[in-house]
Amino acid sequence: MRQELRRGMLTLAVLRALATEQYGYSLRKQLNQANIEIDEGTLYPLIRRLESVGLLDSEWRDSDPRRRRYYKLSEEGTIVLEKLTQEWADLSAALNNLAATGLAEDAA
Amino acid sequence: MNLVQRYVAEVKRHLPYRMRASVAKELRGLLDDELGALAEQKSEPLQEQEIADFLKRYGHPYRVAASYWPRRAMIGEKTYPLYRRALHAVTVWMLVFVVAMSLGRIAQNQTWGIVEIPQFIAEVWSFLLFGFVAVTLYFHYFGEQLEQRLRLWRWDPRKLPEIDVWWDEVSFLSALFAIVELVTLLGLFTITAPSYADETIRLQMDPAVAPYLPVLKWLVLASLAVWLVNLFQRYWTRVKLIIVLACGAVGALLMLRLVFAPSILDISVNLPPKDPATTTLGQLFAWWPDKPLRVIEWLSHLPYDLWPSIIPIKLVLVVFGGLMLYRTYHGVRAVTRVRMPWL
Repeated sequence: MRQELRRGMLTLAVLRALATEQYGYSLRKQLNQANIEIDEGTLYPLIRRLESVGLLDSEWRDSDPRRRRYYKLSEEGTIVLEKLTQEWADLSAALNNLAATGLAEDAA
Repeated sequence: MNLVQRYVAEVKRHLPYRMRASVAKELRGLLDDELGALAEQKSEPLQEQEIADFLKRYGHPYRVAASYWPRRAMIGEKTYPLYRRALHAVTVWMLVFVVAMSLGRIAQNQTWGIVEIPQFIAEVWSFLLFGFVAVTLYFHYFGEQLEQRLRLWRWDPRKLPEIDVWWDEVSFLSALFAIVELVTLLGLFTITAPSYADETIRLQMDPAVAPYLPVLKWLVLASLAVWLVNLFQRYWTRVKLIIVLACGAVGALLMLRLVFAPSILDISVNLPPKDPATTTLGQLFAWWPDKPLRVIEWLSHLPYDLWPSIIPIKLVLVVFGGLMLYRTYHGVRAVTRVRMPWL
Protein backbone atom coordinates (compact mmCIF):
# COMPACT_ATOMS: atom_id res chain seq x y z
CA MET A 1 0.00 0.00 0.00
CA ARG A 2 2.74 2.40 1.04
CA GLN A 3 4.74 1.47 -2.06
CA GLU A 4 1.82 2.24 -4.34
CA LEU A 5 1.32 5.62 -2.71
CA ARG A 6 5.03 6.38 -2.99
CA ARG A 7 5.25 5.27 -6.62
CA GLY A 8 2.84 7.95 -7.78
CA MET A 9 4.36 10.56 -5.52
CA LEU A 10 7.90 9.81 -6.70
CA THR A 11 7.03 10.54 -10.32
CA LEU A 12 5.72 13.94 -9.28
CA ALA A 13 8.78 14.62 -7.13
CA VAL A 14 11.18 13.67 -9.93
CA LEU A 15 9.36 15.82 -12.49
CA ARG A 16 9.40 18.74 -10.09
CA ALA A 17 13.10 18.35 -9.29
CA LEU A 18 13.94 18.17 -12.99
CA ALA A 19 12.49 21.59 -13.67
CA THR A 20 16.19 22.46 -13.49
CA GLU A 21 18.66 20.33 -15.44
CA GLN A 22 20.36 17.58 -13.46
CA TYR A 23 22.24 14.31 -13.85
CA GLY A 24 21.26 11.10 -12.05
CA TYR A 25 23.37 11.35 -8.94
CA SER A 26 22.72 15.06 -8.37
CA LEU A 27 18.99 14.41 -8.65
CA ARG A 28 19.17 11.65 -6.06
CA LYS A 29 21.11 13.94 -3.72
CA GLN A 30 18.56 16.70 -4.13
CA LEU A 31 15.67 14.33 -3.40
CA ASN A 32 17.47 12.99 -0.33
CA GLN A 33 18.05 16.52 0.93
CA ALA A 34 14.32 17.12 0.53
CA ASN A 35 13.74 14.03 2.72
CA ILE A 36 12.45 11.97 -0.17
CA GLU A 37 14.20 8.66 0.36
CA ILE A 38 14.66 6.81 -2.91
CA ASP A 39 17.15 4.13 -3.72
CA GLU A 40 19.26 4.13 -6.86
CA GLY A 41 17.63 1.01 -8.24
CA THR A 42 14.26 2.76 -8.30
CA LEU A 43 15.25 6.27 -9.29
CA TYR A 44 17.47 5.66 -12.32
CA PRO A 45 15.12 3.32 -14.17
CA LEU A 46 12.26 5.74 -13.37
CA ILE A 47 14.11 8.64 -15.04
CA ARG A 48 14.68 6.51 -18.11
CA ARG A 49 11.02 5.54 -18.25
CA LEU A 50 9.93 9.17 -17.97
CA GLU A 51 12.36 10.05 -20.73
CA SER A 52 11.11 7.23 -22.95
CA VAL A 53 7.52 8.50 -22.71
CA GLY A 54 8.64 11.99 -23.64
CA LEU A 55 8.29 13.77 -20.30
CA LEU A 56 12.03 14.42 -20.06
CA ASP A 57 14.73 15.51 -22.50
CA SER A 58 18.25 14.19 -22.04
CA GLU A 59 21.73 14.97 -23.25
CA TRP A 60 25.15 13.35 -22.80
CA ARG A 61 27.96 15.69 -21.86
CA ASP A 62 31.69 15.16 -21.80
CA SER A 63 32.60 18.45 -20.21
CA ASP A 64 32.55 17.04 -16.66
CA PRO A 65 35.31 14.79 -15.36
CA ARG A 66 32.96 11.92 -16.23
CA ARG A 67 30.49 11.43 -19.07
CA ARG A 68 27.06 12.18 -17.65
CA ARG A 69 23.56 12.16 -18.95
CA TYR A 70 21.69 15.31 -18.05
CA TYR A 71 17.92 15.30 -17.79
CA LYS A 72 15.46 18.16 -17.99
CA LEU A 73 11.70 18.51 -18.13
CA SER A 74 10.44 18.50 -21.72
CA GLU A 75 7.60 20.69 -22.97
CA GLU A 76 5.18 17.84 -22.60
CA GLY A 77 6.63 17.10 -19.17
CA THR A 78 5.94 20.68 -18.08
CA ILE A 79 2.27 20.36 -19.03
CA VAL A 80 2.01 16.97 -17.27
CA LEU A 81 3.74 18.38 -14.18
CA GLU A 82 1.22 21.23 -13.97
CA LYS A 83 -1.68 18.81 -14.22
CA LEU A 84 -0.20 16.40 -11.68
CA THR A 85 0.56 19.22 -9.25
CA GLN A 86 -3.03 20.41 -9.46
CA GLU A 87 -4.28 16.85 -8.98
CA TRP A 88 -2.00 16.40 -6.00
CA ALA A 89 -3.21 19.64 -4.41
CA ASP A 90 -6.86 18.65 -4.93
CA LEU A 91 -6.31 15.17 -3.52
CA SER A 92 -4.40 16.51 -0.56
CA ALA A 93 -7.15 19.05 0.18
CA ALA A 94 -9.81 16.34 -0.14
CA LEU A 95 -7.94 14.05 2.24
CA ASN A 96 -7.46 16.86 4.76
CA ASN A 97 -11.16 17.64 4.55
CA LEU A 98 -11.98 14.01 5.10
CA ALA A 99 -9.70 13.83 8.14
CA ALA A 100 -11.17 17.07 9.52
CA THR A 101 -14.73 15.75 9.07
CA GLY A 102 -13.78 12.51 10.81
CA LEU A 103 -12.25 14.39 13.74
CA ALA A 104 -15.31 16.64 14.05
CA GLU A 105 -17.64 13.61 14.07
CA ASP A 106 -15.49 11.90 16.70
CA ALA A 107 -15.61 15.01 18.87
CA ALA A 108 -19.42 15.20 18.52
CA MET B 1 38.76 -5.93 -15.33
CA ASN B 2 37.53 -4.04 -12.26
CA LEU B 3 34.41 -4.90 -10.27
CA VAL B 4 32.26 -2.10 -11.70
CA GLN B 5 33.01 -3.14 -15.29
CA ARG B 6 32.18 -6.75 -14.48
CA TYR B 7 29.00 -5.66 -12.73
CA VAL B 8 27.83 -3.53 -15.66
CA ALA B 9 28.67 -6.34 -18.10
CA GLU B 10 26.55 -8.73 -16.05
CA VAL B 11 23.62 -6.30 -15.98
CA LYS B 12 23.93 -5.97 -19.77
CA ARG B 13 23.62 -9.70 -20.19
CA HIS B 14 20.08 -9.61 -18.76
CA LEU B 15 18.85 -6.73 -20.91
CA PRO B 16 17.16 -6.74 -24.33
CA TYR B 17 19.75 -6.25 -27.05
CA ARG B 18 18.52 -2.83 -28.17
CA MET B 19 18.78 -1.38 -24.64
CA ARG B 20 22.13 -2.86 -23.70
CA ALA B 21 24.54 -0.20 -24.90
CA SER B 22 22.62 2.80 -23.64
CA VAL B 23 21.77 1.33 -20.22
CA ALA B 24 25.33 0.10 -19.71
CA LYS B 25 26.76 3.51 -20.59
CA GLU B 26 24.38 5.29 -18.26
CA LEU B 27 24.73 2.77 -15.44
CA ARG B 28 28.51 3.04 -15.64
CA GLY B 29 28.28 6.82 -15.27
CA LEU B 30 25.85 6.56 -12.36
CA LEU B 31 27.97 4.00 -10.50
CA ASP B 32 31.08 6.14 -11.02
CA ASP B 33 29.22 9.13 -9.58
CA GLU B 34 28.01 7.15 -6.56
CA LEU B 35 31.43 5.63 -5.88
CA GLY B 36 33.13 8.99 -6.48
CA ALA B 37 30.88 10.58 -3.86
CA LEU B 38 31.71 7.78 -1.40
CA ALA B 39 35.45 8.27 -2.02
CA GLU B 40 35.04 12.01 -1.52
CA GLN B 41 33.35 11.43 1.83
CA LYS B 42 36.24 9.19 2.84
CA SER B 43 38.90 11.49 1.36
CA GLU B 44 40.79 8.53 -0.09
CA PRO B 45 40.29 5.99 -2.92
CA LEU B 46 37.86 3.12 -2.16
CA GLN B 47 39.20 -0.37 -1.45
CA GLU B 48 37.94 -3.31 -3.48
CA GLN B 49 35.96 -4.57 -0.47
CA GLU B 50 34.15 -1.24 -0.17
CA ILE B 51 33.26 -1.28 -3.86
CA ALA B 52 32.01 -4.84 -3.52
CA ASP B 53 29.86 -3.83 -0.50
CA PHE B 54 28.41 -0.92 -2.46
CA LEU B 55 27.56 -3.13 -5.46
CA LYS B 56 25.95 -5.66 -3.16
CA ARG B 57 23.76 -2.91 -1.72
CA TYR B 58 22.98 -1.65 -5.21
CA GLY B 59 21.42 -5.01 -6.06
CA HIS B 60 21.97 -8.23 -7.97
CA PRO B 61 22.72 -7.52 -11.65
CA TYR B 62 19.62 -9.46 -12.63
CA ARG B 63 17.39 -7.29 -10.44
CA VAL B 64 18.98 -4.10 -11.69
CA ALA B 65 18.45 -5.24 -15.29
CA ALA B 66 14.85 -6.19 -14.50
CA SER B 67 14.14 -2.67 -13.24
CA TYR B 68 15.13 -1.29 -16.65
CA TRP B 69 12.85 -3.61 -18.59
CA PRO B 70 9.68 -2.03 -19.82
CA ARG B 71 6.75 -3.23 -17.68
CA ARG B 72 4.95 -5.96 -19.53
CA ALA B 73 2.28 -8.50 -18.83
CA MET B 74 1.16 -11.34 -21.03
CA ILE B 75 -2.45 -10.40 -20.37
CA GLY B 76 -3.47 -6.85 -19.50
CA GLU B 77 -5.39 -6.09 -16.30
CA LYS B 78 -8.39 -4.83 -18.25
CA THR B 79 -8.74 -7.95 -20.33
CA TYR B 80 -7.92 -10.49 -17.61
CA PRO B 81 -11.53 -11.34 -16.58
CA LEU B 82 -12.41 -11.80 -20.24
CA TYR B 83 -9.34 -13.97 -20.72
CA ARG B 84 -10.29 -16.19 -17.76
CA ARG B 85 -13.78 -16.63 -19.15
CA ALA B 86 -12.49 -17.49 -22.61
CA LEU B 87 -10.01 -19.94 -21.09
CA HIS B 88 -12.78 -21.69 -19.15
CA ALA B 89 -15.01 -21.91 -22.21
CA VAL B 90 -12.21 -23.26 -24.41
CA THR B 91 -11.22 -25.78 -21.71
CA VAL B 92 -14.76 -27.12 -21.53
CA TRP B 93 -15.19 -27.33 -25.31
CA MET B 94 -11.82 -29.05 -25.67
CA LEU B 95 -12.84 -31.60 -23.01
CA VAL B 96 -16.18 -32.17 -24.70
CA PHE B 97 -14.41 -32.60 -28.04
CA VAL B 98 -11.84 -35.10 -26.69
CA VAL B 99 -14.49 -37.11 -24.85
CA ALA B 100 -16.70 -37.18 -27.97
CA MET B 101 -13.71 -38.21 -30.08
CA SER B 102 -12.82 -41.03 -27.66
CA LEU B 103 -16.43 -42.24 -27.46
CA GLY B 104 -16.56 -42.27 -31.26
CA ARG B 105 -13.40 -44.36 -31.35
CA ILE B 106 -14.80 -46.77 -28.77
CA ALA B 107 -18.02 -47.12 -30.75
CA GLN B 108 -16.03 -47.76 -33.91
CA ASN B 109 -13.59 -50.30 -32.45
CA GLN B 110 -16.00 -51.76 -29.86
CA THR B 111 -13.22 -51.76 -27.26
CA TRP B 112 -12.71 -49.95 -24.04
CA GLY B 113 -9.91 -50.77 -21.74
CA ILE B 114 -7.05 -49.77 -19.62
CA VAL B 115 -4.68 -49.53 -22.60
CA GLU B 116 -6.70 -46.61 -23.95
CA ILE B 117 -6.57 -44.59 -20.74
CA PRO B 118 -2.99 -43.26 -21.21
CA GLN B 119 -3.86 -42.32 -24.78
CA PHE B 120 -6.97 -40.51 -23.54
CA ILE B 121 -4.99 -38.64 -20.87
CA ALA B 122 -2.33 -37.66 -23.42
CA GLU B 123 -5.02 -36.37 -25.78
CA VAL B 124 -6.76 -34.39 -23.03
CA TRP B 125 -3.44 -32.90 -21.95
CA SER B 126 -2.34 -31.91 -25.46
CA PHE B 127 -5.73 -30.43 -26.38
CA LEU B 128 -5.91 -28.43 -23.14
CA LEU B 129 -2.37 -27.20 -23.65
CA PHE B 130 -3.18 -26.20 -27.21
CA GLY B 131 -6.30 -24.36 -26.03
CA PHE B 132 -4.37 -22.55 -23.29
CA VAL B 133 -1.62 -21.45 -25.68
CA ALA B 134 -4.06 -20.34 -28.38
CA VAL B 135 -6.25 -18.30 -26.00
CA THR B 136 -3.25 -16.75 -24.22
CA LEU B 137 -1.57 -15.73 -27.47
CA TYR B 138 -4.79 -14.33 -28.85
CA PHE B 139 -5.37 -12.21 -25.75
CA HIS B 140 -1.73 -11.15 -25.64
CA TYR B 141 -1.87 -9.71 -29.15
CA PHE B 142 -5.55 -8.86 -29.69
CA GLY B 143 -7.05 -8.73 -26.17
CA GLU B 144 -7.34 -4.95 -26.03
CA GLN B 145 -8.93 -4.69 -29.48
CA LEU B 146 -11.39 -7.39 -28.43
CA GLU B 147 -12.24 -5.53 -25.23
CA GLN B 148 -12.87 -2.35 -27.21
CA ARG B 149 -14.96 -4.18 -29.79
CA LEU B 150 -17.26 -5.47 -27.04
CA ARG B 151 -18.22 -1.80 -26.37
CA LEU B 152 -18.68 -2.44 -22.68
CA TRP B 153 -19.48 1.23 -22.10
CA ARG B 154 -22.69 0.85 -24.07
CA TRP B 155 -24.34 -1.62 -21.72
CA ASP B 156 -27.86 -1.31 -20.39
CA PRO B 157 -28.61 -2.44 -16.81
CA ARG B 158 -32.15 -3.42 -17.91
CA LYS B 159 -30.72 -5.98 -20.31
CA LEU B 160 -28.85 -7.96 -17.65
CA PRO B 161 -30.06 -11.59 -17.40
CA GLU B 162 -32.97 -12.39 -15.13
CA ILE B 163 -32.05 -14.50 -12.12
CA ASP B 164 -35.00 -15.73 -10.15
CA VAL B 165 -33.11 -17.57 -7.44
CA TRP B 166 -30.09 -16.03 -5.79
CA TRP B 167 -27.82 -18.70 -4.47
CA ASP B 168 -24.10 -18.97 -4.06
CA GLU B 169 -22.37 -18.41 -7.33
CA VAL B 170 -21.45 -21.70 -9.03
CA SER B 171 -17.67 -21.90 -9.11
CA PHE B 172 -15.96 -23.26 -12.21
CA LEU B 173 -14.15 -25.92 -10.18
CA SER B 174 -17.28 -27.21 -8.46
CA ALA B 175 -19.05 -27.42 -11.84
CA LEU B 176 -16.10 -29.25 -13.35
CA PHE B 177 -15.90 -31.63 -10.39
CA ALA B 178 -19.62 -32.41 -10.64
CA ILE B 179 -19.29 -33.06 -14.38
CA VAL B 180 -16.36 -35.43 -13.91
CA GLU B 181 -18.27 -37.25 -11.16
CA LEU B 182 -21.43 -37.57 -13.26
CA VAL B 183 -19.58 -38.65 -16.42
CA THR B 184 -17.85 -41.38 -14.39
CA LEU B 185 -21.19 -42.55 -13.03
CA LEU B 186 -22.73 -42.47 -16.48
CA GLY B 187 -19.83 -44.55 -17.79
CA LEU B 188 -20.26 -47.04 -14.97
CA PHE B 189 -24.00 -47.43 -15.56
CA THR B 190 -23.54 -47.65 -19.32
CA ILE B 191 -20.54 -49.93 -19.56
CA THR B 192 -21.46 -52.43 -16.84
CA ALA B 193 -22.64 -55.47 -18.80
CA PRO B 194 -25.84 -57.10 -17.48
CA SER B 195 -24.60 -60.56 -18.44
CA TYR B 196 -21.57 -62.11 -20.07
CA ALA B 197 -19.99 -65.53 -20.34
CA ASP B 198 -16.99 -67.13 -22.01
CA GLU B 199 -14.55 -69.90 -21.13
CA THR B 200 -12.81 -67.91 -18.38
CA ILE B 201 -15.52 -65.78 -16.87
CA ARG B 202 -19.26 -65.80 -16.28
CA LEU B 203 -20.95 -62.62 -15.19
CA GLN B 204 -24.58 -62.20 -14.29
CA MET B 205 -26.26 -59.11 -12.97
CA ASP B 206 -28.90 -59.66 -10.32
CA PRO B 207 -32.29 -59.49 -12.15
CA ALA B 208 -33.62 -57.30 -9.32
CA VAL B 209 -30.85 -54.77 -9.93
CA ALA B 210 -30.95 -54.50 -13.73
CA PRO B 211 -34.13 -52.32 -13.96
CA TYR B 212 -32.50 -49.64 -11.77
CA LEU B 213 -29.74 -48.96 -14.29
CA PRO B 214 -31.71 -47.15 -17.04
CA VAL B 215 -33.46 -44.99 -14.40
CA LEU B 216 -30.13 -44.08 -12.81
CA LYS B 217 -28.67 -43.34 -16.24
CA TRP B 218 -31.45 -40.84 -17.07
CA LEU B 219 -31.16 -39.17 -13.66
CA VAL B 220 -27.43 -38.75 -14.12
CA LEU B 221 -27.92 -37.47 -17.68
CA ALA B 222 -30.40 -34.82 -16.49
CA SER B 223 -28.04 -33.65 -13.70
CA LEU B 224 -25.16 -33.63 -16.17
CA ALA B 225 -27.09 -31.37 -18.54
CA VAL B 226 -27.72 -28.87 -15.73
CA TRP B 227 -24.08 -28.83 -14.66
CA LEU B 228 -22.94 -28.33 -18.25
CA VAL B 229 -25.21 -25.27 -18.42
CA ASN B 230 -23.80 -24.15 -15.05
CA LEU B 231 -20.36 -23.98 -16.56
CA PHE B 232 -21.49 -21.07 -18.70
CA GLN B 233 -24.27 -19.60 -16.54
CA ARG B 234 -22.69 -19.56 -13.11
CA TYR B 235 -25.83 -19.05 -11.12
CA TRP B 236 -28.85 -21.09 -10.14
CA THR B 237 -32.36 -20.75 -11.46
CA ARG B 238 -35.47 -22.46 -10.08
CA VAL B 239 -35.60 -24.95 -12.93
CA LYS B 240 -31.94 -25.88 -12.55
CA LEU B 241 -32.27 -26.28 -8.79
CA ILE B 242 -35.40 -28.44 -9.04
CA ILE B 243 -33.77 -30.77 -11.60
CA VAL B 244 -30.53 -31.15 -9.68
CA LEU B 245 -32.17 -31.60 -6.30
CA ALA B 246 -34.74 -34.08 -7.55
CA CYS B 247 -32.24 -36.13 -9.57
CA GLY B 248 -29.70 -35.99 -6.75
CA ALA B 249 -32.12 -37.13 -4.09
CA VAL B 250 -33.72 -39.93 -6.15
CA GLY B 251 -30.41 -41.03 -7.67
CA ALA B 252 -28.66 -41.13 -4.30
CA LEU B 253 -31.45 -43.12 -2.69
CA LEU B 254 -31.51 -45.61 -5.58
CA MET B 255 -27.76 -46.09 -5.43
CA LEU B 256 -27.80 -46.57 -1.68
CA ARG B 257 -30.66 -49.06 -2.13
CA LEU B 258 -28.41 -51.02 -4.51
CA VAL B 259 -25.66 -51.05 -1.92
CA PHE B 260 -27.95 -52.96 0.43
CA ALA B 261 -29.02 -55.45 -2.26
CA PRO B 262 -27.68 -58.98 -1.55
CA SER B 263 -25.60 -58.91 -4.73
CA ILE B 264 -25.21 -56.73 -7.79
CA LEU B 265 -23.02 -58.81 -10.05
CA ASP B 266 -22.30 -62.52 -9.78
CA ILE B 267 -18.89 -63.16 -11.24
CA SER B 268 -17.55 -66.69 -11.65
CA VAL B 269 -14.04 -67.05 -12.91
CA ASN B 270 -12.32 -70.18 -14.14
CA LEU B 271 -8.78 -69.97 -12.90
CA PRO B 272 -6.04 -72.25 -14.12
CA PRO B 273 -4.93 -74.77 -12.97
CA LYS B 274 -7.62 -75.80 -10.46
CA ASP B 275 -10.44 -73.60 -11.78
CA PRO B 276 -11.63 -72.36 -8.43
CA ALA B 277 -14.65 -70.12 -8.55
CA THR B 278 -14.07 -66.62 -7.30
CA THR B 279 -16.40 -63.70 -7.17
CA THR B 280 -14.32 -60.65 -6.50
CA LEU B 281 -10.95 -59.14 -7.23
CA GLY B 282 -10.16 -59.46 -3.53
CA GLN B 283 -10.71 -63.21 -3.70
CA LEU B 284 -8.43 -63.40 -6.69
CA PHE B 285 -5.62 -61.86 -4.65
CA ALA B 286 -6.52 -64.09 -1.73
CA TRP B 287 -6.16 -67.12 -3.98
CA TRP B 288 -2.74 -66.04 -5.16
CA PRO B 289 -1.53 -63.75 -2.35
CA ASP B 290 2.14 -64.22 -3.20
CA LYS B 291 1.72 -64.05 -6.97
CA PRO B 292 0.24 -60.70 -7.94
CA LEU B 293 1.80 -61.13 -11.37
CA ARG B 294 -0.44 -64.12 -12.00
CA VAL B 295 -3.46 -62.01 -11.13
CA ILE B 296 -2.32 -59.30 -13.54
CA GLU B 297 -1.78 -61.96 -16.20
CA TRP B 298 -5.28 -63.28 -15.62
CA LEU B 299 -6.69 -59.77 -15.73
CA SER B 300 -4.93 -59.16 -19.02
CA HIS B 301 -7.00 -62.00 -20.54
CA LEU B 302 -10.21 -60.37 -19.38
CA PRO B 303 -12.08 -58.53 -22.17
CA TYR B 304 -11.72 -54.79 -21.74
CA ASP B 305 -15.42 -54.11 -21.59
CA LEU B 306 -15.61 -56.24 -18.45
CA TRP B 307 -13.07 -54.16 -16.54
CA PRO B 308 -15.75 -52.01 -14.89
CA SER B 309 -17.39 -55.20 -13.61
CA ILE B 310 -14.30 -56.13 -11.64
CA ILE B 311 -14.09 -52.91 -9.64
CA PRO B 312 -15.74 -53.01 -6.22
CA ILE B 313 -19.04 -51.72 -7.47
CA LYS B 314 -20.70 -51.33 -4.07
CA LEU B 315 -17.90 -49.12 -2.81
CA VAL B 316 -18.22 -46.93 -5.89
CA LEU B 317 -21.96 -46.66 -5.36
CA VAL B 318 -21.48 -45.67 -1.72
CA VAL B 319 -18.96 -42.95 -2.67
CA PHE B 320 -21.00 -41.50 -5.52
CA GLY B 321 -24.35 -41.91 -3.76
CA GLY B 322 -22.85 -40.14 -0.74
CA LEU B 323 -21.59 -37.31 -2.95
CA MET B 324 -25.03 -36.90 -4.51
CA LEU B 325 -26.70 -36.85 -1.09
CA TYR B 326 -24.18 -34.31 0.15
CA ARG B 327 -24.87 -32.09 -2.86
CA THR B 328 -28.62 -32.40 -2.33
CA TYR B 329 -28.25 -31.54 1.35
CA HIS B 330 -26.27 -28.42 0.38
CA GLY B 331 -28.92 -27.50 -2.17
CA VAL B 332 -31.73 -27.83 0.33
CA ARG B 333 -29.80 -25.80 2.90
CA ALA B 334 -29.14 -23.05 0.37
CA VAL B 335 -32.77 -23.06 -0.71
CA THR B 336 -34.06 -22.75 2.86
CA ARG B 337 -31.56 -20.00 3.52
CA VAL B 338 -32.91 -17.84 0.72
CA ARG B 339 -36.49 -18.64 1.84
CA MET B 340 -37.89 -19.47 -1.54
CA PRO B 341 -41.63 -18.75 -1.63
CA TRP B 342 -42.53 -21.86 -3.59
CA LEU B 343 -41.10 -24.26 -0.99
